[in-house]
Order: sequence, then C-alpha cells, then structure tokens
Amino acid sequence: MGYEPKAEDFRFIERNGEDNKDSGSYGETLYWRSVYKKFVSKKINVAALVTLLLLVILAIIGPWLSGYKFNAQQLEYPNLTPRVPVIEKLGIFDGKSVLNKTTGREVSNPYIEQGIAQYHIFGTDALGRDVFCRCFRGLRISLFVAVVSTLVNVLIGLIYGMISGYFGGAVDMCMQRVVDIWGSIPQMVVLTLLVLILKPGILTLIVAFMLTGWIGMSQIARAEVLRMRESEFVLASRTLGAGSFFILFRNILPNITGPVITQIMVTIPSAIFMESTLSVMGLGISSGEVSLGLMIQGGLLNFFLHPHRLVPPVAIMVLTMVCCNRLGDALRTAMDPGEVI
Amino acid sequence: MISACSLIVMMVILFLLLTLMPGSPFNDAKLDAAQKAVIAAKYGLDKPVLIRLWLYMKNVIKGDFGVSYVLSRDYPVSELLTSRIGVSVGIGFCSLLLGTVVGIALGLMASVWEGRLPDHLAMGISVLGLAAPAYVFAVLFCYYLGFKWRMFPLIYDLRAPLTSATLPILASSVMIIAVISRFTRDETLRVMQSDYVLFARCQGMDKKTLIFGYVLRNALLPVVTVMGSLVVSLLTGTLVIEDMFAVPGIGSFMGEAILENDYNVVLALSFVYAMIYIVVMLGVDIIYGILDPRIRIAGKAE
Repeated sequence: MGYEPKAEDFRFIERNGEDNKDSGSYGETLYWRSVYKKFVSKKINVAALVTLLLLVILAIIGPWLSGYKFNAQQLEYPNLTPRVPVIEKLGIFDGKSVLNKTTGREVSNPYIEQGIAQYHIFGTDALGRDVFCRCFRGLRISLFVAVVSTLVNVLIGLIYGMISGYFGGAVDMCMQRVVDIWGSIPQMVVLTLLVLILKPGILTLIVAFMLTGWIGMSQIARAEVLRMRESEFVLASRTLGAGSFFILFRNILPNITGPVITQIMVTIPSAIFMESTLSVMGLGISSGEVSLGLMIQGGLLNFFLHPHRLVPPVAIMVLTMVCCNRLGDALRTAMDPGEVI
Repeated sequence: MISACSLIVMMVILFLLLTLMPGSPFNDAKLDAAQKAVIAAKYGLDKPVLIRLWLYMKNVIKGDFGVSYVLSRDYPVSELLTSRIGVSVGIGFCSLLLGTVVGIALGLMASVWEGRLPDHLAMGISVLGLAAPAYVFAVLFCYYLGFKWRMFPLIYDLRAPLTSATLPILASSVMIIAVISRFTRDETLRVMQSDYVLFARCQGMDKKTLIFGYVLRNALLPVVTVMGSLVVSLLTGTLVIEDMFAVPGIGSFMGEAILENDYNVVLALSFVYAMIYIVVMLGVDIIYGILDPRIRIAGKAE
C-alpha cells in the first residue's frame, strides 16, 4: 500500500515568491544583457547611436532652433554662403563667397556689402530660405517616411513570412510563388509608377515603399519560422493544447525579435536612399514640403555656381546613413546567439 | 518557367496600372474631344481595356512593343530600344566589372592587413560608398575630374564612347566597390578561421598560395550572391546617372517616358528591366554552381 497524496502536499508557487527565484525570465534577461554587452563593447557603436539620436533630436527641434521658417522666402538675400556667429572671427564661415569667372576669381561678402545682420549657419538657397532650417525639416520628413514605411513593411512581411513558413505545404507553395513573381519586378519600376499614379506626396511615398519593401522581411521571417517550427518548445506548446496562432505570435515571435530589429535598421537607410533618388528624379515629395532628396536635387542643379548648397544636405544624409548602417551591423552581431563574448 | 510567368504577370499588372494612370499621352489643350477620339481610334485606345491587354500581349510575344506615342511619335518602340540598350548594358557591365575587381582587391587587402592602415582605408571607402548615393559621387567626379582638371568630358558622346563613358562608369561603380569590398573582407576573415586553413598553415604553406588558391575561392561564394541585388541597385542608379551625363541609354529614356506618359515605352522598358534582372539571377545561380562543387554534385544526384 503506497503513499496517498493529500491536499496539503501541494501548494501554489507565488509568482514573486521565494520559490520562484531561479526560474521565470532569467534566461531572457541573460540574453538581452549579453546583447547589450556586445553592443557596448565597441565604442563606435555607441558613438553611432549617440550621433543618430542627436540627428533625430535636431530633426525634431532643428527647424525651430534656426529661428527661421522652412518656407519663408527672403528674395533679397539669395544664395548666401554660410556664416556662423563665433567662428566667423577666425576667417572661415564668415559669409565670404568666391566666384570663379573667366576674368579671374572674385571674392565678395554679401553680408557686409548689403549690411545683412542675420546669421545663416548653412547659408540660404536661391529664394533666400535658410538652408539649416530646411535641411533638418527635410531630415524630419525623410526620417518620418522611412520609419513609418519600414514599420508597416516589417509588419506585413513578418505576418506573411511567418504564416508561409509555419503552415508549409500548399499554403507555403502559393505564397512563395507570389513572392517570386512580385520580387522579380524591379522595385524602382513599381515605385516610379505608383508615385505617378497616386499624387506625389508623403503618403504616396509611404504607400509605395510599403508595397515594394516587405519581401525581404517576409523571407527572413519564413526562414526563421522554418528553423523553429520543429523545435522542442513549439512541440511542448502544441502538446499543451496551444493553437497555431498562439504558437506563432506568443512562442515563436519573441524568439525572432533579433532578426526583426536588424531588418528594421537595414530597411530604414534604404528607404531614405530611395526617397532621395525619387526626389532627384523629380518624383518625390511635391514642392511646398521639403525632404533631404529635394534639398540634394536643388544643390545638384546649382553645384558649379553655389557648391555650398549641396554640402549640408549631403553631409546630413551621409551621417544618417553611416550611423544607421553601423547600428544595423552592430545589432546583427550583438543579437546573433551563436557569437558568445 | 517561373521567370516566364512572372514576366507575364508583371506586364499585365503594369498595363493595368498604366491605363489607370491619370492623364493620357495626348493631353494637348488644343485638341477637342472629337480630335482626341480620332487619335484614340488610330492607336486602338478606344477599345475596352481587356481587349487592348489581349492584343498587346499577343504582339509582345511576337516582339512588337507597339509605337511610341509622345517621345518619337509613331516610331516602333522596339527599334528605339535596341539602339539604347547597348549603351546602357555596356556602361553597366563596365562598372560592374570595375567595381568587382577593385572591390575584391580592396577587400583582400583589408583582410590581409586586418586592423591596420589598409584595412581602415578600405573600410572607410566602403562606409562612404554605402552612405552616399551614386549621384553625389557623380557630381564630385564631374566637378574635379571633368570641370577642374578637364580629364574627361562631362557629357556622353557617342563618337567617343571610351573617354566620355568614364565618368558615369566611375560614378556607378563606387557603390559596387563598397559592397563587394566589405563582403570580401568579412568572408575572407571568416574562411581564414576555418580548420582547413589552420591545417594548411601548419603544413607550412606560404600565405600567397593559401589566399589565392584556397581562401579566395571559398570567400567569393557569398560575394556572388550579392551580385544580383547589386545589379538591381545599379539599374536604379542609372536612372539618375544617365540623366546627369546625358547618356542615351535606357535609364534616362525611362525617366523621360514616365514624365511624358508614353505607355508603350514604359511597358517595354519595364519588360527589359525585369528581363535583365531575371537573367542576372539565373547567371548568379550558374556561377554559384561553378564555384561550389557541392551544389553541382547535389544537382546531379537528384
């Protein structure tokens, strides 16, 4: 005659009680801690993050800081060169402009000659609008378009790829053929046509990027789900009676955050790139609003005469791109569970 | 099979998109409704969309892409294109070649002298090349090589394709150099850590034979796979670059056609772009098979 278990032998474990000390989210925090450690271990990653944050902050408050309105025209002060308050005493950025003529170089300072008391850190454009203000306004719009379209992209791609990978078989077959066909149409062709059909503007750009950019994410999500579908924790979850969608979104999704975040960081710069290319072609944001691409286009048109107008938008764009690319790489290495520090 | 399918689907989608597009190729304010109807009847634009689609697809299979409506009126699109494709493909191929060779050289250099000056230099170039769009480099090359030092002509000249194509080729190869050098460096470093390299070095093999005979071939495998996406970005870049240098290629033509609503030209060019893309993807698969014997053997076994 064996031992009969009685009700007193069992008790509930308190969620935050002493008994629960070692289980719970221990493993998870360990993973994120190692990600953090790997990320911080390289100074350049931190530098990129800080620079990017600074750029974002400037994009938000920069136009206001400049003291000018981004579309306020001062027709009497066109194409001024940069003039910065303190540094001008050193002889650089004091508003001097050099004109190369066939008869020789001609140096003049319109600020002094016309008695302009204003400072324009990046100078002004052909309509006398402050370039500093316009640049950061442009960065704001470019970032907004890129971030929103990327988030939507990732969401669509994630759901599509996860469903395709998880259910497999005929579903996967059909969904992958759609991806094959849609993917073999050059993205640029679709983008240009969409921008033409819809009215040019911010929303159009977002929709256009949305329709073309989700394929990359869906492929990654599908591969990750395929890898995890047969693993023990999914089997355990299913044995406990979890439904397909519960497994997909509550069990598998948290495990592929790494690739998803990396993909976000990779897609944002490419969206910024695309936006600027479209703008340079004259298909981007319509006039009345401004974006980095539009600023660059304006600079390209006048480059030989007023090179100072191309430098600020290109510099801001390059800086943003470098930081985003660096962060993407850093996150990829940091979140790779195979690499231990 | 899939490629053919996707080409057809793409044409159908594009055709429908274009017919939905606001405006028509003939939006001259001087034309009244009756005259517009005459023009529409002449080009068969008065028929229902589906019938036009059917007729168009039938003609495409025969190699007839219709006539241009605006850019050079009534001239067959296929003839317009054949003269331009050569120029674009030539420039594209040259920049791809230049970019790959320089990129692999830079990447190898960086991995051999890892952490030292050549490495930093190569990676600096790579970071910049990835961060700035091709047209920025185009302007810089224009300004210094073309305008200040007068080394190359600023505008493409059909009579002197060699010198005048230099600037567009340089400008569009920067991005390729950036991507390829980066990949080559990372892959070479990865391969260098593998067991067989350690074994070869233990046996006393000198570094040159090791790198060129053993490491490079394995390191280049992933490099080949990025080639496909590189060609796509190259195509995107040419849209602006060809316009800047006035190259009479398909990139600048596409821009004009889109702005002028020239349906048939846009459709035909999209077809060409998709074809190039598919051919390149196929080429990548084949090269991959040649470089990696494992894939060949697996393919035969099936």
